[in-house]
Amino acid sequence: MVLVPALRDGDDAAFAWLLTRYDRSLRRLAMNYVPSGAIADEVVQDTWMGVINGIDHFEGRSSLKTWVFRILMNVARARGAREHRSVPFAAAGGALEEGAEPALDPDRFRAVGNEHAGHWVSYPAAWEHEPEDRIEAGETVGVVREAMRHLPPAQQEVMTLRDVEGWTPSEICDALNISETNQRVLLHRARSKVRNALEQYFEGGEA
Amino acid sequence: MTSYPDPPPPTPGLPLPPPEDDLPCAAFVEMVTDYLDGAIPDDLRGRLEYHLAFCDGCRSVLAQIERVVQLAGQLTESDVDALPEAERQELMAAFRAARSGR
Repeated sequence: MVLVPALRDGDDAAFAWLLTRYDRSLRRLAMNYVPSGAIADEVVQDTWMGVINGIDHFEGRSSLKTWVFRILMNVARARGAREHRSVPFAAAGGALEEGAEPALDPDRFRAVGNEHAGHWVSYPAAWEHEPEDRIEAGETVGVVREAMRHLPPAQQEVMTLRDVEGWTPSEICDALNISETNQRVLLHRARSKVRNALEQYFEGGEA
Repeated sequence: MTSYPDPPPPTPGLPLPPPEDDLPCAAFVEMVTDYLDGAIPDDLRGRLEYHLAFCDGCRSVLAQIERVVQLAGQLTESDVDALPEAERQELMAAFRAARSGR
């Protein structure tokens, strides 16, 4: 990697590139862990200072991106504790703390012991209509944002990295120190809850 | 011996799965992310594809999860502010100071 030696050499352009590339992602992730935008800004600032001061100690065993994100997690964890907000990171053993959670309400399926047990009682409606205008499109994204805010933290963390930030599964496992299986379980629970919220929204109920 | 309640009457309009389709819809909806990630074991994958071919309900859920992923991807554009120029300058200055003072 060319970037790391450039950073160590004090190359302005390399650090500027890093800021442009990751600052928004860090800010978005920080919001998951601390109670306010102002604190998130401080967490991001402290993360960048950690990068500046720690680049000589970066060993290249993970990607630079993962390393930067781990600094953010450490800063946010310390900060979240100080702000009296519990921060059950996926990495901190809280990955599956919520226990079994079906993706959909079990009542949607024919009960055990019935003919065709486990098949739909009635099909979910297809969401075929496309947003008619930009306002409706924005509303739909808003439902997703709101549903994601209410996810348990470990699920929110994984879905933010994967579906919002576009990280690969292996990057997430590496950064959060969880297995691929746990990563997918958390992600699927998160996506399913957002699906349920959208279903209520499309069917006109309260999301 | 467990006794079960009487089965509900067949849902009007829902086609019954063919006898070879042994994958319950309740199981499929738990596997959508595995399916999209290509993480379904080979021996299960065929059963799952077969089920999808017959089940409109599960195809809808698959499409809905794909829609969720696509909508979540749109959040990047709007939900946090860019780094303010003043802060960027401060960080650049901190970088220069730290690297030159080694």
